Formats: sequence, structure tokens, C-alpha cells
Amino acid sequence: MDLDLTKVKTYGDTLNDGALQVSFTLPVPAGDEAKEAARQIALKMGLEAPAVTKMADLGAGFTFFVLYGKCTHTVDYSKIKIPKQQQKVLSFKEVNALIKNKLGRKVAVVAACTGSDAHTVGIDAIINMKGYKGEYGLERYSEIDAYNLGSQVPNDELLARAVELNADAILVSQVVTQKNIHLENLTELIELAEAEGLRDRVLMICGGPRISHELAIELGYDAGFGAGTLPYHVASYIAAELVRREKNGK
Amino acid sequence: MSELYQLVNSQKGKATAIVGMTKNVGKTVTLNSLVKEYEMSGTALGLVSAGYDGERFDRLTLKEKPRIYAPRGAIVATAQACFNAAEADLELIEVSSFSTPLGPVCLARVKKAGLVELAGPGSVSGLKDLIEKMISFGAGHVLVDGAINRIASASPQVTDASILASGASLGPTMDDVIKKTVFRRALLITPLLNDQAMYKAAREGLEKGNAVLLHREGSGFHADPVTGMIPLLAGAQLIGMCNEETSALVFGGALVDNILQDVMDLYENPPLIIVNDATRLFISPEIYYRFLGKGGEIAVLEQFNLLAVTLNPTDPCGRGYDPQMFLNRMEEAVKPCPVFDLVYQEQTVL
Ligand code: B12
Repeated sequence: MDLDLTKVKTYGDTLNDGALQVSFTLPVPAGDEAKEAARQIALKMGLEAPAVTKMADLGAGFTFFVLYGKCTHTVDYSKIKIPKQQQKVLSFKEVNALIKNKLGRKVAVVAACTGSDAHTVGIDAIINMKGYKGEYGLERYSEIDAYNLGSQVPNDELLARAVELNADAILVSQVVTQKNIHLENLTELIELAEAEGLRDRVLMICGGPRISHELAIELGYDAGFGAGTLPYHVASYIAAELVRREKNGK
Repeated sequence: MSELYQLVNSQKGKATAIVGMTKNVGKTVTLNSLVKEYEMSGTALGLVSAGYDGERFDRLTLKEKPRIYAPRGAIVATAQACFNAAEADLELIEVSSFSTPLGPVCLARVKKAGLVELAGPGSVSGLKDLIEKMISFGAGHVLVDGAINRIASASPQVTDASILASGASLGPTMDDVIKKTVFRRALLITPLLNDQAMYKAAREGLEKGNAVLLHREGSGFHADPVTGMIPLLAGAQLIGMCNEETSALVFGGALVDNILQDVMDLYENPPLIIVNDATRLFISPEIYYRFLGKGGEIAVLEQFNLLAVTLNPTDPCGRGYDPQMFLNRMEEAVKPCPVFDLVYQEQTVL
């Protein structure tokens, strides 16, 4: 059978067999009734011919299940379009070389955990000399002067320090919970920067476990970095963007 | 024709901003409703976002969001990756100099109507520039979708009029939502400085400094400009220079709680506070109402034009209110500003 990208189906053993595996826990004790309950849940989920292949007693009246079944749905893969990030990543050495050769001056960055946030491990991972996962932090870059202001820094203070240190970039770390407070702390910094006429003078970058480039655009930042970010990802972005802006004459 | 559309269309300006009190208050629903009306009227619209709009799912709550429909003939400004992935058929007009992590913002004409994701430039100066460009490429009017609770895109320096979206997700109770909306509106409609001599002195002072002290001198005013590293710091310096004869304090940037608090500590009857426009006010309700209680007044050099408030009576992550009751209560609270619940009102008309 040929693969039809307009009708893609889950795959187990042969093309288009629709086979898939699901796992979940039910708050009932293990046994025949529990097994039947798990099968019925899978049927209600729309799976064909669901079969329990594993049932494990979790104790305290909870049971864990693994089921196989067949999915009847298909998706049109050929019509899926996802906007993708466009960014080249440079190494530690390449970043330093780019700054030295193309900018011909040191780059200053100011970093902080703002508002009520005290989760400093993330921003420290990016800034501190020793870095993260074997990658040097920005403090170690010969062409970057990095200032880490620590945690719970008010937005107006961060802006004032950034101007005082003649920063090229402001780096903000926020854990962003479901509640809007962290988001609004991030947007307030941008709004303040706009009101103070600083928005076009510095790169504004945010980061944290729930942050993505797309969320950063929504928040009004130039870039955003999420889980798994390494210091050179951030350094490359800053160096490349500063060079690009200098070329554009702004 | 909807009343909201008539309101927007009766304005002479080039661009209207839709801004929100917070996430999920229906900014995009308001935008889409206007887009439909403009499409019927045959006006080519310009569409741009101050943030990122039109994606299928909310990035934080993972709930489905309203998407953005771009009619044929419209001009859109969006990041290159969104341009490439658009369902609508787009023809590239120009690649702008504004960059985003999804590539440079591109200007494009819609050849065949369809869905688009709008990812805008990070800055207000970028928006301003793109609005001008869209107009020059033939857009009859530009709509700027807001992002989260940001309102800088509604600054009179960028757009000519604004719509404020509010809704259930703003607070735990209807009273709280109304209270917060009333406060935001109070700030937004801060009156224009009407003393001509003072206006002239404030403007001239701001050309020389980031903050200005005004004292009466003959029939006009004497301006003492202060240049700080940033307007906020210059503003803080002003406080140390005021005296009993000070007529007004002019802030070239943001006005924050601390400053207003300091002014209240200094004066029994505070002098007039002047800011450029209402998007420069970063004040909490407690401080603001205390300032007003002392007889304090704030004036702006550029007036904010708030056309209407729109409501979303449901919070996608929780509670919802009876739409009619919510509408009635909000109308009462922000009178005479018109209030719309576009979804509910469309349903009840049918
Ligand atoms: C350590 C920790 C703490 C420590 C923090 C100590 C410190 N000095 O930082 C303490 C005990 C103080 C703490 C307190 C709280 N915490 Co805590 N904490 C954690 C924990 C266990 C680890 C976080 C961490 O260090 N991760 C490691 C770093 C390296 O990862 P990262 O932050 O994601 O950073 C990376 C990227 O995101 C990115 N990045 C991050 N910032 C930036 C910035 C820039 C500019 C860039 C470019 C990149 C970038 O680069 C980093 C490297 O890749 C997490 C749970 C977990 N396992 O994740 C909870 C967690 C973050 N905490 C949480 C909560 C709720 C709290 C409290 C509110 C608890 C309470 N009720 O009191 C308080 C709040 C304190 C406050 N005022 O902020 C929640 C957040 C929930 C949410 N996301 O909705 C979590 C997820 C736990 C949970 N599952 O509930 N916490």
C-alpha cells in the first residue's frame, strides 16, 4: 500500500492499520471489572477493538492500564503549515569573533528575575561564568559584559540600570504560571520601555520554562527562550541581531 | 451594519487599535467582526498585530482561539514564517526591516481570502511604520490587534482611535471585572490640557528635557527642564525641585506610583500633573483615587480616543456571566461610553 499524505493514520505493524497505544490510571482496584472499565473508556475515546495488554495495581485502590486499539481517524498531512523559527546558532568562539569583527566593541547585557519571581536558577544558567550543561555562560564570553541583577527586581529599576550600564540587551527570566500575573509583569516592562522611549534602543529578551519565541512576540519582546536553552543560543541571537541592526542603521 | 463598525468608520483617522484588559477578553472576536463589516463595505483593510494572533490554540492554556480571516484585497503585515504558512493566498509586497524570531515582518496583499496568523513587530515604532506603509499600499483603514494587556499600540502617536476589550477572565467576580475596567477607562480618558499657555510651555520644555517644572511667569509659564538618564529618573529629580509656587509637573515618559506618592507627601494641594498621553500612566487604583481625593489632577498633551468597550462574558478557563446582566452593568458603569457584546448581540438580533 502506498503512503497517502492526505490521509495519514497511526502506524503499528502495517501501513494504515491505525494501531496505537494509550495508558492511563483509574481510581478503582485492579480486577476484571477494572479491565472492562478501561476497555469501555477506550471505546468511548473512539478506539476500535481496544485490548488491555497491561494492568498494574498501584495500591490504595488505583490501577494503571496499557491498551492497544485502532484509531479510525486520518489527518491531511499535506495541508499542515507551521510557522517556523528562523535563526542560525553560532558557537561560543563564533559569537566572540562575530562581535569583535562586525561590531568592534563589547556588548553589554543586563539580566534579572523580575517582579515577584525568585526562580534564579534559569537566568544564572545563562549568565554565570560556569554556565550550564558544559556550556559557558555569558559572563565567560570575552566580548560580552554581563550584569546579573538577581531576583525580584522591579521593572523600573531594571530599565534604569540598563540605561546606566548602556546595555545592548535586557534579559528577563519569568516562570509564567497559569495565572496572568507573570505575563503582566513581562508586558509591563515592555510598556514601560515604550513609555520611556527605550524600546528601540535595547534588545528585549525573555526566558523561562514556559516561554517560546511565539509567546515572546505576543508579549512584545524581540525574542524568547524556553526549556533546554543553552547560553550560546542566547549569545548567538544577541550578536547576530545587533549586527543586523547596525547594518540597517538603527 | 453593526453599531461598532459605524463608530469606527465614522472616524477620520487611518488606524484603530483594539486593546485588551488581559488575555482572552475577545480582542480577536472584535477584530474579526470589524473585518467582516469592512469586507462587506468594500474597503480594503490593513491588518497587523501588536503581538501574535490567529494561532489555533492558546500557547499557555492550550484552548482553542478565534482565528483571523483575511478578506481578498486586504493588506496584512506578518512575520515571514506566518506569511509562508498562511491558508489565505498572499502576494508579497515588501519585506520590512523589522525582524522577529519568525523572520522579518512582510507586507502582503490577500489574493484569495483565508486564514492568516499575524505576528507583528515587537515595537510601537514598528507598528507606526507598518501602518503608514499599508496605507500607502492602498489600505483604506488599518486595524491593529492588541496583545494580552498591552496598550502602547493605542497611543495617539500610533493609532487614531481605540476599542477596549474586557471580560470575565479579568477577575474573580463581575464586580471586580467592572471595577478594573472602570479604572482603566478613567485613566484612558484623562483630559487634554486645555490651558494654551501651559500647553505651549510644557511642549517646549519637553524638547529640552525629559521632565519639566512649570512656574507662572507674567501671563505665561516659565519652564525648567531636567534631563535625566531616562524620563523616570528626571521625573524623580523634579520632586526635589518643586516649591509652593509650582504650577505643574510635566513627565516626558512614564508616570509611576512612587512619583505620585511623593507629590502627595509634599503637597496638601498638589500641582497639576502632565504626561504625554494616557498610555504613559502606570498607576495603581489606590494611589490614583487617593490623588484625586486630595484634589489632584492629571492632564495629557495628546488625547486618547476611546470609542467603545467590548465584552466577553465567558472566561475560557472558568466562569461565565449572564451576558445581558453583564452588558447592562458595564454600560451603567462606563456611561456614556458605548459597550458591546458582539457575539451575544448578533445572536439576539437573529
Ligand atoms: C528550584 C525551584 C524553586 C526554588 C528556587 C530557588 C532559586 N534560587 O531559583 C524555590 C524553593 C525558592 C522555589 C519557590 C517557588 N516555586 Co519553584 N521550583 C523550583 C524547581 C524545582 C526547579 C526550577 C529550576 O531551577 N529549574 C532549572 C532551570 C535551569 O530551568 P529553567 O528555569 O527552565 O531555565 C532554563 C530555561 O527556561 C531558560 N531560561 C530561564 N530563564 C531565562 C531567561 C532568559 C533571558 C533566557 C534567555 C533563558 C532563560 O534557560 C534555562 C536553562 O536552559 C521547579 C520545578 C521544576 N522541576 O522545574 C519549581 C517551580 C518552577 N516552582 C513553582 C512554584 C509554584 C513555586 C512557588 C510559588 C511555590 C510556593 N507556593 O511558594 C515559589 C515561588 C517563589 C518566587 N517568589 O518566585 C512551580 C511553577 C508552576 C508553574 N509553572 O505554573 C514549579 C514548576 C513547580 C511545580 N511543578 O509546581 N522554587
